[in-house]
Amino acid sequence: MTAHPGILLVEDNPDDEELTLRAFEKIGVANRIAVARDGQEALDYLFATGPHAGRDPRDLPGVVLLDLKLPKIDGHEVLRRIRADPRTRLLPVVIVTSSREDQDLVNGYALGCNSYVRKPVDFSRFAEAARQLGLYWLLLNERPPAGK
Amino acid sequence: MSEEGRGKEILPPEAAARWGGGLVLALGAVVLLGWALGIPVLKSVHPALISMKPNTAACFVAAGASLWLLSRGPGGRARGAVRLVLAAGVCLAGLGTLTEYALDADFGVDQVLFRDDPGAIRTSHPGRMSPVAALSFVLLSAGLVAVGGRGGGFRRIADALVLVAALLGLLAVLGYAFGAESLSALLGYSPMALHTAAAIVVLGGTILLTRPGEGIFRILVLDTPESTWARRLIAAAIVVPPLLGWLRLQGQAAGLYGTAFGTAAYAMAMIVSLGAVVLWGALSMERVEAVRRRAEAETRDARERLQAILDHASTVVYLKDLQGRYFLVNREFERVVQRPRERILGATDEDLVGAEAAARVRAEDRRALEEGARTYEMTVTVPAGERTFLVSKFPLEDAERGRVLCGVSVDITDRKRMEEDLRTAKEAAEAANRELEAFSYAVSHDLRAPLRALDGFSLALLEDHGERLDAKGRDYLGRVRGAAQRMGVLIDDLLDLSRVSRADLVRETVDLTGTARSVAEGLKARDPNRAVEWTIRDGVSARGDPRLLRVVLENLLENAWKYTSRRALARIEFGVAEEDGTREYFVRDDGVGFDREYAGRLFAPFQRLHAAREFPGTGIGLATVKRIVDRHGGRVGAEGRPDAGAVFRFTLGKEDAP
Repeated sequence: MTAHPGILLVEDNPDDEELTLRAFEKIGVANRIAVARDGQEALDYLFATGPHAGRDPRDLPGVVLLDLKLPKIDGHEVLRRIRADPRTRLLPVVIVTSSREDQDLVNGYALGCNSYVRKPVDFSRFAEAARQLGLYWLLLNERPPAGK
Repeated sequence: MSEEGRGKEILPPEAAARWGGGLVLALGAVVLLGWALGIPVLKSVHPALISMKPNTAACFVAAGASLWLLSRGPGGRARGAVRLVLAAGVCLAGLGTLTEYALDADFGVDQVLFRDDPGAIRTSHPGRMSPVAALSFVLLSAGLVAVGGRGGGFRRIADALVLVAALLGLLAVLGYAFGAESLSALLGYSPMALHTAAAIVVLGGTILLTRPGEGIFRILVLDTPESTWARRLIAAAIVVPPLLGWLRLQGQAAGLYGTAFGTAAYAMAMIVSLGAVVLWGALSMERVEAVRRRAEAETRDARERLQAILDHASTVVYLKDLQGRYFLVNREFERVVQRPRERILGATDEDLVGAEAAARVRAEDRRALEEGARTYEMTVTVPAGERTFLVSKFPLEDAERGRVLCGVSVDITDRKRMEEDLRTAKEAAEAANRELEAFSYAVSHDLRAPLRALDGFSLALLEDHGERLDAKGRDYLGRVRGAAQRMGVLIDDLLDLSRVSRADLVRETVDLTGTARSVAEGLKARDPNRAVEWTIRDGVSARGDPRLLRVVLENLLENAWKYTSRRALARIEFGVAEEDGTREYFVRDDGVGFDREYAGRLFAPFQRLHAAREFPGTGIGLATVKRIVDRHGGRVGAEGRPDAGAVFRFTLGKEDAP
């Protein structure tokens, strides 16, 4: 883990993980990415519990890229817990998923995600989406004040 | 008091007692007044006749009052006591007088009230009533006591005694009519006065006709035909013989004939008149009987008609008494319990469906009796198996049995089973739909991930290691990517199609013109180099689901866009035509069109009329359009000719009325 990771990628599919990292590599932010392979690990990372107990919980990523279909705890539940905790209440969360189901979209926004991005099959378009996401959330977006 | 079927009393007991008692009471009072004021006509009616003695008049006052009191209703103990005292007074007056006659004594009671004339006409003892009147009072007093009671043996004896008194009075009246010697005068005693005799007849008749809830004289006061006949015959018996006797005596007195001929003529006249009365009665009875027979036949017809109708009804119909015994059932009932009628009539539910079901039936019977009518469902086991009936049950009045219960039961077992099957099928369909949803979700998410890897790593290979492959190798990788992407589109289209089937349909007013324009803008933006002339009619709107209708226009306009791609200047038109109150929307293009022969296959999924090489596509778009139109209750159709364009038309069902 880097000291100040820019992005927490929550993704259980190794292929998608690899492709996402490759896309971020191209825009030079690959070294600022932390990866969690399931919902539990994502929460452990954010709240510095379990295997991540040694982390400083105030050291939050600039954005969380959250898949919905995850082992152990699914993406909606992860989002709900992030929004329920005062430390992560304002943390930007972008849902990145294969699902196009309306219900997933509605639930995601209802739980307070900041954006909802669908993974296209075409990698060129996926890479473009990842590039824009990285640019937007890491460089353009103003982060909420720390500690709040 | 009259019971069903016995007829109503035309002379209520109170009326008889009031009028008869009142009349006698008034007569006694008038005669006493005559004695008090010395008015001879009041005492004796005619100077040549014997006077009514004061004691007699007092007895009439007492007896009349006793009867009149009875007409004032049941009264209390006190009134009963007064009536008893009055009757006892009448009885004592009669007994005392008889004793005087028997012992040839004078107790000094005869002239207690008024002194009689020393030379009173036909009077054996001054002031003393006739011994026949005295006897009549004794007999009548028994009737006065019995008349207020409830009948029984004493009443029957009293009736007989009263009848004797009335007949004694009648004999005296007839004696006056025929100028005959009176009974007591034959013994050398005072005869009864004329009005005494008449009053005794009235008193006796009144007692006999008062109260007739029972006793043989009740037959005289009912409104039934037999009662009417009894009254006519009694009237004839009372009027005819005295009249004939009087005529005979008149003739004999005029010297027209002697005793023997007079008697013969009298006998003949009696035969004729009684015969006439009997014939009259018989003829009348014949008429009554004919009416009765006709009524009976009508009743039988009605019963047979009812049974025939019930037997041809396909529902179970029955009547049963309050003991639960069936006394009328129809053929369907026989069929259901599989017993002949003879073995059902008189049987109860215990016999037919067993104790457990019978207990439930009895409970429903009671509720139907309480509520007046009841409809409920009941499942019972009959020989054909377990059947469910919809039962309507209600009480009826039956002349013979009192209250009875009628039931009409429809076998709804099959209907229930169908409802159940339908419910099961619906649940199965819903479960399948839920499963499909879960499946679609899995497809949407899981099937696309490997495709992304295929495409992504092929591209990575091309980018990072492309220089190590020859042109053929790079072409192959390109084909891998193309295939993966096509499959991605295919999956998305399939998901759209399934979503169209599952989504709830919302009907609202949709601005189709606006939707078509927005779709056209998207297409223009995607390929700005194409020259297409759009004609989109203004102000087209429809009642339908806005999201689904957008999908329809997207598919149709995209198709038009796609199949006109070879035209230098293409024309695409969206509009609406109204026919027979139905709006038909259409999308027309001047593209490559299609062979009419294949038009039927256009709307089936995965059917394509053009090679993917020529025009890319999955063959799902039009299937999606058809499904959306179907869900709106509309129709969709297409016309086209090769190389001469195509028109797609659709309607949106009854709810999309202009």
